[in-house]
Amino acid sequence: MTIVIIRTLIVYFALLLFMRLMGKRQLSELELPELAVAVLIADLGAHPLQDIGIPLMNGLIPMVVLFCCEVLIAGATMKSARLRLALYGRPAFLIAKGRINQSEMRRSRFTLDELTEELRGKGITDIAQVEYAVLETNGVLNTLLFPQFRPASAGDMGLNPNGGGYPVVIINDGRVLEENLRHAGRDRRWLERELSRRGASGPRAVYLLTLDEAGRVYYAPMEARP
Amino acid sequence: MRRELAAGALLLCLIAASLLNLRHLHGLTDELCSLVEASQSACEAGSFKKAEVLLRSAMDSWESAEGYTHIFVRHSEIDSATDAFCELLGDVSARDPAAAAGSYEKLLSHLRSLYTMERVTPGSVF
Repeated sequence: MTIVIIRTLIVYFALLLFMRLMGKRQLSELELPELAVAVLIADLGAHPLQDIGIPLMNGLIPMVVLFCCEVLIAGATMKSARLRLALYGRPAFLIAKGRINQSEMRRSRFTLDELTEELRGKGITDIAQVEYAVLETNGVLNTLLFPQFRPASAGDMGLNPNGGGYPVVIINDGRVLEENLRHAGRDRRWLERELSRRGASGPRAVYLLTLDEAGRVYYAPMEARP
Repeated sequence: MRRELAAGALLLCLIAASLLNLRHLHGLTDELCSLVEASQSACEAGSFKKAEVLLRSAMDSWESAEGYTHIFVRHSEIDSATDAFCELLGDVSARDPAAAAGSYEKLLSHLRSLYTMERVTPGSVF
């Protein structure tokens, strides 16, 4: 039993390490080679855990090999467009200029039901509103509506609103993030002033406090814990 | 680029380490097989005492390699080889040359298979 626990911990941390080294792309939208690695790694890790008669090395060494392959392939595809095309394929324009490209639909093995389902998932119920629908190489369908159906932006309306820039978290769950405070060009004295203005006894009484580039502060006090 | 070079170097190191491992395994199984074959010759010549000494020496070598074998060899293979050693030792101690002849072949086959399983051949790969 102890062996199983130790092996599980080793495999778990090895998996975390390799997935981390492979990059965040492994976590969500996977390209084909990445999907293959993710599926294989999970399976490789599981076998030595289930059967302690299999040396742990039989699980760890293939993980290292797959990690190396993934890094090498990712590097090579950055350099070679031809290899990228061979491994990842190319995006498929399922709808182009408002017309459904049936041959592309067949080539991508994408049914009309799947297309309408994907569009509904994006809040589009009328296919006639879609100017372009692109099936990306990672399997995600991206759409572009005809201009008359796109949501109006401030620019379309001739407005020029002032943005507050990216808000920086200054206090997170009672903890002051000193680096963010410095990055925002503020100091402790400013923070104490802001807190006393809001009636907070100190950072511990604050759940969230952010500051944007325009100097606007968002403040959420800490609620009493039950 | 540094990352790719490091991954390539790591892969090459792994390949080199696997070849070294193969060489070490070949050396180990060769040494064990030589001792077992010498014991077999002694047994066939009726020198059971010498056969037993040689066999025990081979078994000691096998057991002393436990740190290595448990990391790199399937545990079921280790158990099979150890069982074959014990069975053969029993036959030799009992001075039973007929039973020992079969047990020698079984043990030698087990020991050789440890290396042949790891050796890179189309058969072992596919």
